[in-house]
Amino acid sequence: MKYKIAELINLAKAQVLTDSFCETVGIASAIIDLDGKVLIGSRWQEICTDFHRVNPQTRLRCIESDTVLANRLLKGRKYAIYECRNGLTDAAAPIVIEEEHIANFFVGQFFSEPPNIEYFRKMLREYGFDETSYLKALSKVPIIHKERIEPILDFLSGFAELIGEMGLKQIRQLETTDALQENEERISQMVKGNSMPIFVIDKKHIVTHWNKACESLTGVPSSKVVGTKKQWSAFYPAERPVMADFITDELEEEIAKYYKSKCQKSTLIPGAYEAEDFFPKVGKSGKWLFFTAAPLKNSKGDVIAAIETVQDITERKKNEEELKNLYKKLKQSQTQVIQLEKLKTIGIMAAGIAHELNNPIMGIINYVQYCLKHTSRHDRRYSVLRDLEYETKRCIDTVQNLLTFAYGRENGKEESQNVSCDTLLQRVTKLLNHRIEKEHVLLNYHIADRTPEIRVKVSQIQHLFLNLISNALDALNKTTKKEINIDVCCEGDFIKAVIVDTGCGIAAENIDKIFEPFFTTKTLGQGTGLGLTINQNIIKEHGGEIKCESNLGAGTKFIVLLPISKKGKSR
Amino acid sequence: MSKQILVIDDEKAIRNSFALTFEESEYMIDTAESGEKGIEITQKKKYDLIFLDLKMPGMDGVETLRKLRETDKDTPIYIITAFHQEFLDKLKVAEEDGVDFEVIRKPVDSEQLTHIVKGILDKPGIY
Repeated sequence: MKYKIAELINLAKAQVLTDSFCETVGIASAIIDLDGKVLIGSRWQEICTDFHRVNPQTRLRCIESDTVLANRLLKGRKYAIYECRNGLTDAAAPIVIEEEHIANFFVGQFFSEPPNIEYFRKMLREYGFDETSYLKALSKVPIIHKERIEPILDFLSGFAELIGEMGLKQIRQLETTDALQENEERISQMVKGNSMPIFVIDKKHIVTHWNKACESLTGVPSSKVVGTKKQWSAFYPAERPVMADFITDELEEEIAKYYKSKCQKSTLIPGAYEAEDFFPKVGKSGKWLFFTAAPLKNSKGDVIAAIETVQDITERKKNEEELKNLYKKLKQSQTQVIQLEKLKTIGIMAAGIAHELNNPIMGIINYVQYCLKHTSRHDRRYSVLRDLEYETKRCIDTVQNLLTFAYGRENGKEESQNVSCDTLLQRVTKLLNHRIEKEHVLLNYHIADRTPEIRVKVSQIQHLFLNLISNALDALNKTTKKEINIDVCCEGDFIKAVIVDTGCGIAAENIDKIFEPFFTTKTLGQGTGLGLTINQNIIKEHGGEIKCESNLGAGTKFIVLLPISKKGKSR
Repeated sequence: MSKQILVIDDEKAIRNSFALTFEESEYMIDTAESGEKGIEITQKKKYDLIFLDLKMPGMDGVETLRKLRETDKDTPIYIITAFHQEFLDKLKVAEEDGVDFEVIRKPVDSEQLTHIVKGILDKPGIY
């Protein structure tokens, strides 16, 4: 049995009520538990208390009577009426609370019809009771008809059940309150002692817990937030709901709206959501936080609060970022290796073709010149031959430039040598001369007097200038003013080459990206987006510098600094 | 007596370039289409100047050069080449071995050829 009747009913108060009831009705009553213990007794009959229960023999009969009644009730009867062996009548009704029989209500003793006085005279003689007082006690026993007993019993047991149930309810409530308090205590302990930053808000969005770890992460003391709705203040510059707020209100759609792709349903905790984001307000320079908000429910399953854990993942993010950068760099150098390998192959091919062309070209130029020598200036063919000679010389120049350019790439490794910047720029512009003329570009070239030599890997720096001037030509493609100005001068220990075009320029948002690999604004097939990346590497390898200044629509300026050779310095 | 020039080159275009440039000049041009032929000719006739190609089938230019220098230390030999890396390395070894020669880069037109030849042969003080 879960509960004892004594726990359910305030016995003292019930006693008073039963007393006054019995006084009115003129009947004795008692609540006796299933162990036979009398819990409430009212108006016991003197004949019982002073005589029958005093004499050992008649007392046995009393108890026997109680037990018989109880047994009858145990068999599921609504109530039982029994004539005790001392000649009086008892009745009992069970007290059933939540389908559990926990005690019995007894009424008695009474006579259901006027007593047989002769029988009692016989009793007093047999057990030696004082005749006058015994008969007086007997006369006090009320006579109640059986039909009246039933409603009395119904009332009493109903009354007992009513107050029993009330008592039960009260106990249950107390238990729930205890359980809640216990839960609350447990949550408090868990939150307080946790090394993970945690806070809890109740259904009304008021912060109830804000642990030490949360204080040190956010820098906001619990005294500033507990008891308020200012949980947002630790994370955001302006008031807005935090994840826990959505959880207490069970607004899952709002979570998705506020956190978008940054959040997801927790795979571990049902009903919980987690997200990660950067919080500029947290810490000195912002922090990456991973936070999980979970609902706290009561036994009925209603959300009564929300608990949010916040993890500082800044370090992890930093590492991830670093790893990403490393990977990017690796990819960059990989593509550069591929690009250099390609250039090398192209160089070897160009050199091969140039070599093969040299012999026939030498034949052609000499044949032409022979013909010229033997043709009269007045002959119409003379001028044609002159043109042929000119065009052939152009072929020779192109092949020569190609060879010079490819030279050094043939072996893959190239040694630095002292060379004048002028020589390199002349070579490159000569190579691009055809394009410069065809596209009607005005090339202004100026080199300061007595600029010292630079010490560089010739083919690499030629490649760099070729790329920069080609880019300048590309930029002039759609502009009306077509000018490229190349200016070379000495600046400290460096030779400064400035290449300025009057082309389309670079948009401000792109200027930082131009040295990134694969960044290009040219259409497909016009460029790989690697040219400037390679240039930057070449410059770095030479201990120089490359800078870019540009205004959209107003042209671009590239500044290249290359170290002067030691020989050049001493000069 | 006119100056004698030998051109050893497997390419007809090169041999013709010399022959046509110096036709009706004070210089006599003989040609050989291989290193072997060239050596054979020099054994019969003394030349004032030899032009020698590097890349040739059979005996290449460097081998021909070494062979020529075995018997003749004085005749100026001009290697006329399109700068093939493989032969240049070989030529460098020959130079380190003390073999004497000069280098001209192909292609060379009539004007330049005349200039070179005159420069060598009309200023006997240099060689």
